[in-house]
Amino acid sequence: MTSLSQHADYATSEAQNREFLVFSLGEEEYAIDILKVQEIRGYENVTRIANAPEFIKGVTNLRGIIVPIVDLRIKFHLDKVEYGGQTVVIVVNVGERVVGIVVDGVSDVMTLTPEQIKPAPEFGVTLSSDFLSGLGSLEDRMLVLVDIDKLLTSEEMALVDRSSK
Amino acid sequence: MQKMTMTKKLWGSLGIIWVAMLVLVGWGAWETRLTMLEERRNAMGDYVDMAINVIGDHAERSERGELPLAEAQRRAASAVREMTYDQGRGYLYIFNGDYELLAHPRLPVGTSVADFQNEEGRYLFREFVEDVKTDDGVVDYLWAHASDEDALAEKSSLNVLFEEWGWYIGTGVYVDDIDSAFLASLTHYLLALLGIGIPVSLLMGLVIRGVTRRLGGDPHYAAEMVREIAEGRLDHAIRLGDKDRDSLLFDIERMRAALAGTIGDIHRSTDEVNGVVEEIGAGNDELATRTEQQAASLAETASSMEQLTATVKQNAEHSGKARELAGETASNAARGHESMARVEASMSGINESAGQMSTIVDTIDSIAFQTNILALNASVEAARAGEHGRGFAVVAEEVRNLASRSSQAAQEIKALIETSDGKVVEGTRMVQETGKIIEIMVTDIQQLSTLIGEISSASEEQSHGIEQVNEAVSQMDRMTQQNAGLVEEHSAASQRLIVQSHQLRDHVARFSIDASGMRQSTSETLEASPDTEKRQSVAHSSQHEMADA
Repeated sequence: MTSLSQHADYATSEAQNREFLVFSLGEEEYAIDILKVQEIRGYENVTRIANAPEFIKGVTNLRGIIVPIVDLRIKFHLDKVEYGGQTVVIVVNVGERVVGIVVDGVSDVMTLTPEQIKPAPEFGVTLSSDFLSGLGSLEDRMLVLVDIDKLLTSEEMALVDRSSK
Repeated sequence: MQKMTMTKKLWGSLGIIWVAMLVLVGWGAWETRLTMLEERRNAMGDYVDMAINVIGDHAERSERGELPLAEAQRRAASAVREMTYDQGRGYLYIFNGDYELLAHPRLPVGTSVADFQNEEGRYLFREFVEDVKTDDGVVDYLWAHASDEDALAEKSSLNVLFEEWGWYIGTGVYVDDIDSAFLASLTHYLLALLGIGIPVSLLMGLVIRGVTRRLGGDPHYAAEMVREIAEGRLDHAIRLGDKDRDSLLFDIERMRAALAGTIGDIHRSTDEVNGVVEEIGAGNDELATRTEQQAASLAETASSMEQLTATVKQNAEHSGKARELAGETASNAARGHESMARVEASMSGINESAGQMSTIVDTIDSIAFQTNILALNASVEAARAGEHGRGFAVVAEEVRNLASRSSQAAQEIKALIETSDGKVVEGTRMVQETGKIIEIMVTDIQQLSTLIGEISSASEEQSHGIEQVNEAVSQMDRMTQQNAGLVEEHSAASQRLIVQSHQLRDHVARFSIDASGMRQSTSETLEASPDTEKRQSVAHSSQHEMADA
């Protein structure tokens, strides 16, 4: 668990504006660092992998590269999991891995000022909220800033590794 | 035993006959006596006439002057004095108006007889004179008996007035022997009468007895009883004598008893008949009332039937009209259906176009989407490129805007399409609904038609039925009229019967009979007991016994 000071450090270390890609999962809007994003695609041609965890939908061929597709909605235990024309796959670079995450939709690229970025509250041990790097507060919106690395780097992703191989 | 006046009468008659006979005998004897008297008197008259002739002779001679009056008178008187009859017992006398005897066998001439009285104290010669003046000159008196000077005997004298000389000439005859002769003959006749009468009486007595016994009572009583019977009073038993078993009265009593019984029976029958007749009358009245009621309700029924017929007719008309309407509606519905089909067709045409539009819009939308994604990718690359990618980022931004606008427009179009689509769906749904409704309507109308057809045929049947009912009703009406006629006849007959019955009752009412009016057995009621009342009470008690039985 990161302490508050760590968060503060992190927040203050990012003193300049950062660009986020805003996407929606369910009712909430999330944002990830745009530099982590490789590309955005539609949800198509996902080959299902048997015995994979639920949130791992399968794999897809991305210009020759086999990319595992993770459904964050499932991971976040959201009710509505639909795959339609608006469903988008954000291909992210997480370290060496390339993972595609299924989201409900992509809104736009936003630049957030440090004032707009607030630190995330502590929920305790039971909830793994490492991936929450902060909250973007806009006039009428609240963006959940996701640390994609933390989100996707875990035993879970090891499973991804194993299953993708 | 009651006194029977008839017996009295009969015996009385017998008595009267006796009396009559006696009277006859007496009268006969008396007549004889009178005749004898008359003869005597006539004889006297003859003698006196003779004397008067002599005197008359002398008078004439005197008048002629042959003799002087005194001489004539003397001669005449002497002549008369000499005249006797009846063996000297009969004589004539003469006296003049001065009551001087001028001729008498024993008394001297010139004796005054003015105050001469006989043994009775009567002034005889005065009476003679008086009688000559006023009567026939016959005077009866008592005189010394011719044979026996001491005894007195009836004498009758005739006196006649010779007016020329004023001489009273008279003679007297004894009539006592007439009396004795009268008595003798009377006795003689009486004896004869008795001799004949008594046996005859005895015979008559027997006859009377027999007759009375035969009658059993007084004929008056019998007549009375018969009259009572004739007038209807049969309630009193006739009084009969002891041991009377075969007299007329007995038979009448039997007749009475029998009549009483019969009348009693008739009475009861009459009462019954009366009762029954009255019942019949009442029943008839009821029947008449009911028949009237029936006729009334038949009339009501008939009028109801008329109403019903009218209604059925109306029904038939209406159902005919309804059928027409149904037909029209059916064709209208068919037309509606066609329109519906056409509408549906155009609707689906619209739907198709909308679908096409939708597809196109979808295409546009997906293009916008893809463009957006591309723009985002471009932004990402631009961000990665850092400073160098700034212009690119702007372009990407613009492209994203365009895409977004495109998307919006597409969304709007989509919304519109959806609205229209929604409307079309709605419209189609409504058309389908309407179509269904029309189908239902058509079905209903067919059913309606069928029903109307059924109604029509039912109406026809109704009409038939009503006709039949009408028939039946008029038949019933006829029958009711017949019934009424019969009832009237019945009633009339009943009335006549009642009248007859009443007449009969009145006839019978004339007769009064014993309380129970039961037929009495004559032998019972005549059970012997000498006392009349006892017998009657026995009769009554036997009646009561019979009544109680």
